Formats: sequence, structure tokens, C-alpha cells
Amino acid sequence: MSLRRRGTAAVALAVAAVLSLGACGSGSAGNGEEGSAGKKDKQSVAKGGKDFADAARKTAAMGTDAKPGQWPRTITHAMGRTVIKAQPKRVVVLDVGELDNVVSLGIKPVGLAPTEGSPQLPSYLKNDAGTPKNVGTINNLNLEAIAGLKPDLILGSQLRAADSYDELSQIAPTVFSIRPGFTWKENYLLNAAALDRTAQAKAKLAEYDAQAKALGKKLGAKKPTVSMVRFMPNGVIRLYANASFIGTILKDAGIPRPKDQDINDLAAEISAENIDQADADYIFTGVYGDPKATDKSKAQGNPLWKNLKAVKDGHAFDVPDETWYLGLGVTAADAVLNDLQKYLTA
Amino acid sequence: MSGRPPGHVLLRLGRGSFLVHRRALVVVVALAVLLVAVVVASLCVGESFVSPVEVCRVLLGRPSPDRLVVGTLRLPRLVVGLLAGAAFGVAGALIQTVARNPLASPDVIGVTHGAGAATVAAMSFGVVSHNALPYLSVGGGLAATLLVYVFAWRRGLHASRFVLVGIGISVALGSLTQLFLTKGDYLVAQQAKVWLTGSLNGRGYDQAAPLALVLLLALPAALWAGRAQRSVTFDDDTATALGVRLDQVRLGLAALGVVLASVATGAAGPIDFVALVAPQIARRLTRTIQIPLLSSALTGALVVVVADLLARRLFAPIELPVGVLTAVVGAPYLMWLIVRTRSRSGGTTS
Amino acid sequence: MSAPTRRRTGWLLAAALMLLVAVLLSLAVGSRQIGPGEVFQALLHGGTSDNAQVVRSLRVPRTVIGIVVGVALALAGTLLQGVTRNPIAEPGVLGISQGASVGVVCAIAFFGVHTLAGYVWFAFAGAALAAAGVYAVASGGYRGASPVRLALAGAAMNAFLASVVSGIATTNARALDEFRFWQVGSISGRGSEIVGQVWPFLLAGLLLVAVVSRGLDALALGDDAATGLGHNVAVLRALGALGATVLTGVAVAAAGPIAFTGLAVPHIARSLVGSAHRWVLPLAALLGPVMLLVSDVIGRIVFPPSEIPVAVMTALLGVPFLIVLVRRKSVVAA
Repeated sequence: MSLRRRGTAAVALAVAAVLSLGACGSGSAGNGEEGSAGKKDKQSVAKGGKDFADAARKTAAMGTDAKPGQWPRTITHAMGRTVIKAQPKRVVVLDVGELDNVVSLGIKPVGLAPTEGSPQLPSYLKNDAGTPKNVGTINNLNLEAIAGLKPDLILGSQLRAADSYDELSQIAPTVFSIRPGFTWKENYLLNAAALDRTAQAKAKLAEYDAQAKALGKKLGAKKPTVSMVRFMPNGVIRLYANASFIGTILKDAGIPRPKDQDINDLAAEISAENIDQADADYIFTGVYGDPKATDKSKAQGNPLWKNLKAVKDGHAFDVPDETWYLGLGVTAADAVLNDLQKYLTA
Repeated sequence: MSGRPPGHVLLRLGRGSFLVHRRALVVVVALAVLLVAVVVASLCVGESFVSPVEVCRVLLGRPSPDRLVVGTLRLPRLVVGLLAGAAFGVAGALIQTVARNPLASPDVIGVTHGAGAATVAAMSFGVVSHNALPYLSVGGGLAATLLVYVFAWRRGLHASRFVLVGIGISVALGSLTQLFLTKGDYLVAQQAKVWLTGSLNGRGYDQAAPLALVLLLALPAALWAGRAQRSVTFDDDTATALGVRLDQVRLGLAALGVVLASVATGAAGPIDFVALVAPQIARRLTRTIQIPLLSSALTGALVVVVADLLARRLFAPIELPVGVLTAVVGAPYLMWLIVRTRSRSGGTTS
Repeated sequence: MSAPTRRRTGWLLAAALMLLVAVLLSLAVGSRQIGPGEVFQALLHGGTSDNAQVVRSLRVPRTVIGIVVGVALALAGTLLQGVTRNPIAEPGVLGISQGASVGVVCAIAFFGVHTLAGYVWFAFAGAALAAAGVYAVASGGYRGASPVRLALAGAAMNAFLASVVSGIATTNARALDEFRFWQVGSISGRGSEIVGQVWPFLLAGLLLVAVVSRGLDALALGDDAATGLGHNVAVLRALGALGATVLTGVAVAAAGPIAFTGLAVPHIARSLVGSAHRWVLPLAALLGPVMLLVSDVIGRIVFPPSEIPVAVMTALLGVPFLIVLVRRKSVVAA
């Protein structure tokens, strides 16, 4: 191509760029009108040291200043302020954490968004959860199904469902925590505030706390280190760290972790060659999905696994994935504490 | 152009020179009618059935008990789906024509993977607000294409080098996206995966507005500039015209296609396969020599809207991302068309 | 020997040397640091130390699988590009890899197969069915499959099967969980018994490659020219497609879907030795495993102590090469 032709090409590209910039401009104008409070920085809570640690503190500051039994009440939450007119009777929960929260407060939700690929209720909640209807999946909510249930309260989290907040809040008062996960206690209190069950929730948490402390005391001054190993797809082995659900429970019980798991992150990842880095006094393994499907048998069959101290001592145990690794909430936490008690004090 | 159009015998009554145009016109009208029918259907059908009368009341702004379901939940995503489908269809037609390869689509020249990488990177590392995501995605798409352009440029731009470099950059960006997904927050990764499939869930007028604007500007421009361009009508023996030089008109058309695809990706995620299949179906239906822009747009919109209807209802209450189903709608039809249009010895496929 | 022939032979030798180096790297370098001396000891004398076990039971199998998969993908890509006369054809684009995925998903969801070794047969069956389907659609006429229709039918099949996979995986929780473990292309964690299962197919594929090798050059001149040279175009194309399918089956069964290698290696090989298939095919067969093994090795050491799957690394590392080589030629031949 000649220089002239090249110039024309450049002009064409420039026109294209201007076109798309124009699109951007008009878009941001459109965004200003509604839901600007709704679509706050959901990314800032997703990753990155300071925000990561701040999430718990920020969530703890949310809630209501209404007195018990006082309706209507205003809830401050991750997406702004929402008024709830009367005691909610038809609650839709958008994640397993919220499910645990409301069920442990004696409420049977009318709708639930399960995780992709596991449409059943978690077995540890099955007895008390009633029969909530499926409303899509966690990452792909079926808004019409939610609307069809005529809920009077929707509970979820910003990180999961910020995209749908505008629609959800038009269906029913919607209260979002910042994120699921290690902030489960703060989320619990936030949900309880929306349901006017704060006292009950605080009692449950106190009960859990006492149990955790009791376990710590029972283990004495020289507590064993505990390693949390989870086998993931693609041969990835995750060592769960402090900013995970299980990490918070171990911390509450004062149980020490191996050094590379004692970090402020969800998990550390290692490859099969480095499985000796997972060693500790006790190892609790969880399997993502079906045990047969993972590399677990392979990793455990690999000679390094047999050479681990915990394995040699008979201190490596498989534990239920749904409470230890997928669980969120006080019911799951109590179940984990029971398991820990069983294995560590046997 | 003497072959009998299958299933359209009546049309052969037209005079030769008008045959093509009349056919294209009839196809456009038929597609539009079909599209209206599907649009009405997808406003009526859902978790609860809403009668067409109520749908009309909502559309006219009258008070209706179904305003929430139809007006707030169904209509916005439908509009995004229509626009995104049309944009992908036109983009595909332009890019296939310029690249002279029926496999070429925004996917191939870096647009969708650039958009994907930018969006997922932003989501994973939390650098921007949620509002900015669509624009980042547009920027990523354009930047990736620019990169392809720069790398493919060597004393001119040749179609096949452009496509190869495009695939290379696309694959690299796709891998980068995978990397972000595995190294970023796992919750974000789950959401990013839904985005990467292309989803209309939770999409609304915020996304539709920029897309509509770009379509309004780009479609007439493409129609005007593309008048003289022949669509991909090479014969069966040459898959790619090797060494075709891209002149300024073609380059401009490609740029329009890239912008359309980028903005559509920003609005609805990289909805798979629409850009590839829509022009192919349109071309086989219309049998025009020109790029079948209008019918590509309509076909694209039709594929996306039908796919979204299926995505909402097939496994209800579980919704699938629309990108999973566009191929279910488009692929069998395209294959049927391929089987139907027998290759004539030495002739063209068009 | 003429000058071009000397140059081409030189490239072949260089590629063989590179393969040797890649194999040694793959045995010696990993996310766990083991000295070369110790690696050598472990290979020759075995041993029970952690390091020796890592070398023998983890690195050797993945290296062997890397070689098999690299050879298979590179040859499959070369064949498909020749047969469809389309420079962007590869097993992934044409739906054959996706067919294997459908096979595996069905095995999990409907047949209760849960081992990697059990998946192999389903992967093969799926790849074969997909390829047959594409071929049947493309050759709906009487002249056999034309390049354009083969490419389009393949792309359509690919997209369609991808939807089938997601459909099954979305509605069958168990299938989703298990499939995830298979789906990402990786040559780690897959035992050597898989090599034992697939080698007869690799051999069959290589045989088919040898058979069609000369015909591919004629095919490049166009169908009519090839017919004029005395080739039966339809048979040639069918055999080529069959060979590509078998080889793709081998690769996908052993390592899951790995894109890009099949696309890029033939182009890289062609840019080095020209388009004659008797040079391109052997060079591709050598460069394929080089690309895969080197990518795998780098994927092991960039984020220690964890690893990056080979499918991701191959593209990141291979793309610069592809671009540089494609730019070297003013016109790219398919």
C-alpha cells in the first residue's frame, strides 16, 4: 500500500475510534439516571489487600438503628439504604451463606439460588430449610422466578449480584452484604437486622464462639498445626488460608496453621510436585465435586503424599466439602467445630 | 446466478436482473415479520405467561399488573439482545467479506478476546468501577484489533496474514484471560465466566443505548460504502483469496465491523457464533452479490432472541447464558443450508 | 544435495536437537527444585527419595504424554489445513476436539464412566462421530467435500457441540464437576497408562499421514489440478480427514482439548521449509512436541509452587513465534 492509502486507513480507524468514543459518552449519560447508587465498585471488594481486609469492618458497620419490633426500618447495606415496611415473611436468598443465616434464625425461605451444578439443599440445612423454590443459579439469577414468588425481602451480596440489584430492588426490598466468605459473621448480623432477629443471631454467634474457645482450651497449650488441603480441577491443590470460611473458624479456636497457610488470602496454590508443602500435624482434605473426579486418588497415591508426617501418623482425614469448604454461616461453622473436636481430641 | 432458489420457486417469475433484489427484499421482509413474531413471543413467554394484549398495554405505557415482569424484566434484555444480535450480524458480514474467509468473525480478528481480556483483567484486579466495564471492553476490543493491524502490516495488508495474526493475538489474549481467571478471586472468576459466554441476564437500557447509537451510525455507513463490494462469493476451490490487498474502502468496512462487534461485546459479552452464522445464513437466503447487511442484521437479531428465549425456558428455572444456545439455534440451520446448496461443478456457491 | 535441501535438512536436524533439549528440560525443571545430578540418578537408578519419586512418577509420564500429544496435534493441524486448504483450520476450529469433549461428557453423564482411562474410548468415539458428521454435511453434494463447506460445516459443528456440552454439564451436576477436571488441556496428572492405550492410534494416524503426504501437495494446487495429476481427490480428502481425526482423538484423549498447537505449528514449519508436505510434516512432528514441552516447562516455573496449565502457556509463548514467522513472508500460503 502506498503512503496515501495508509493514511486513508488511519483515517478510517480514527473514525471508528471516534464512533466508539461517542458511544461511551452517551452511555455514561444514560447511566447517571438510575441505579448509580446500585452499581458501586464491586471490584474494589473483590481483590487487593486493603479492601480485602476492610470488607469485614465495613460490613460490621452496616445494619439498622431500629429497635427490636420497630417497623418500618431502614437498613444500611452494601448498595445503599433500603426501607423494609414490615416483618418479612417471604424471603429469597441468593447464596448458601444467606440460606444458612435465615434458616438458623428459624425462617424458611421461599426461594434459593443454588450453586451451579448442585441444585439440592446442603444436607446440613435440609431439615430446617423447608422447600424453597429454585430461582436460577448463583451466577445466573432467574429474575422472573424471583418476581413470581412475590418476596418481601431479598438477601444476597454485592460481589455476587450487583448487576441485578436494580431489578431485584424493584421486585422487593433487597439487602446486600459486601461479599460472601470470611465475612460470614458480619453478614449474619446484617441479615438478622433485616429480619429483626439480631438478638437471636448474636446468641448463636456467642454460642459458636464459646464452643470454639472450649475446643481451643481442650487442645491445651501445645496445639497441633492444621493444614487445609483442597483438590481442585486441573490438578490444582489449594491450601486454604486465613481469609476463608474455614480459616476464620480455626483462628477462633486458636489452632495454628503451617506458615504458608498463615496468610491473609483465601488460599495458596501448589502443584502435585510440591505436595510436601501441605504437611502439618493434621491434614483435612476436601474434594471439589465428586471425589472420583479429582486428582485426589492420584495425589494421595503419589509417593510424596505417603511421606507426609500427618499421613504417616494417621492424621489425614477427608472431611465433608459442603460444610468445611463450601459452607458459610453459623450452622456450617458449628458442624465444622464438631468435626474438629472429633478428629483433634480423639 | 441461474440456480433455482430452493423453496422459493415463485420468485423465479421475476425478471433476471430483478431476481436478486426482489429476493433480497423478500428475505428482509420475511425475516422482519419473523422477528416481530419472536419478539412478541418472548415478551409473552416466561415464568408466567402474559397475554399479548397485556404486553401491548405495557408497551404503550398503560397501567398493567404485568408492568414489572414485562416492562422491567423482559423488555430491556430483549432490546439488548436484538441490538447485539444485529450488530454481531453486520460485523460478521463485514469482516468475512474483508477477510475473504467464511470462518472469519470478530472472534478471529481479536475483538472479542481483547474485550474479554480487558474485562476479566479489570474484574479480577479490581481497578475500575462496574460502570466502566462495557467501555473497557470496547477499548480492549479496539486495542486488540489495532494490535492485529500493526502486527499484520508489512508493506501492505494481506487478508490471510491479517486473519492468521488475528487468530494468534486472539488465542494469546484468551490464554491471558484464563490466567486472570485462575489467579484472580474465585468469586469474580465465576462471574467472569458467565460474562465470557455472553449473557443478557441483568442487561438493560444502560447497555442498549450506546449500542443503538453505534448501529444507527454504522449501518447506513456500511450500506453506503459496501454497495460495490462483493460478499464472500469465491468459488469452492479457493477458500481464501491469498494475497488480496485491502484497499481503503475494505479497511474502512473492517473498522466499522470491529467497532460494531466491540460495542456489542461490551453490552452483552462475546455472544458466540452469531457473527459467523448470521451472514452465512443471510447470504444463502438472499443470494445477492452485495454484502447482505440488512438480512445479516435481522438474522443475527433473530438468532440471539430465539436463543435467549430458549436459554430462559429450556431448563427453567435455571437460566443458561444466551451464548450457550446461539449455536443450537444457528448451527443446525446453517448445516442444513450447506447440505441443501449442492456445489455445482466449477460454479460459485452464491 | 541442493542448497534448499541442505537448508531443509538443517532445519530438521535443528528441530530434532530442540526436541532433545525440550525433553531434558521437561525432566529436569519443575515447580519443585531438583538438581540435574539428582534427576540423572533418579532416571538411571530409581530411588525412594521424594525427589526421585517426583522425577520418575510425575515428570516422566507427563513428558511422554507431551511428546505424543505434540506430534499428534501438529500433524492433525497440517493435515486439516491441507485438506480444507484453509490456513486457519485446526482440530479445534473444525469441531473434532469438541466431539471428543461431547464423548467424555456423555461418558460421565450417561454411562457412569469415571476414570481418565475410561474416557479415552469415548473421546475417540466422539471425535470420530463429529468428524463424520462434518464430512457428511460438507459432502452433501456429489463431488465430495469442498474446502469452504468443510470449514463452515466444521465451525458450525464445533459451536453446536460446545452448546451440547454446556447443556449436559449445566443440567447434570455430577457431569459438570467431573468434566471440569478433564476439560482443561493439561499433560500433568495423567498417568502413563493412557499412553499405553493411545499408541496404536498414534501409529495408525502416522500411517495415514504417510499415505496422503504426497497427495496433499497436489491438493494444494486445487481440486482440478490434483485430479489432473492422477489423484482421486475425494479419497485423498477422506483419508486426510480420517488421519486428522485419529490424531486429534489421540491428543484429546491423552491431554484434553489443547488449542493453538495444531494451528500454529504447521505455519511455523511451512515458514521454515516451504510448503512441500514431505518436509512440512516431519518438521511439524518435531516442532509440535517442542512447543508443548517448552510451554509446559515454563508453565511449571512462572508461579511456583503452583503451575499453569500447558494449554494456556502454549498460546502465550507460541503466538510471538507465529507472528514473527508469518510476517517474514510477504504472502502466506496455506
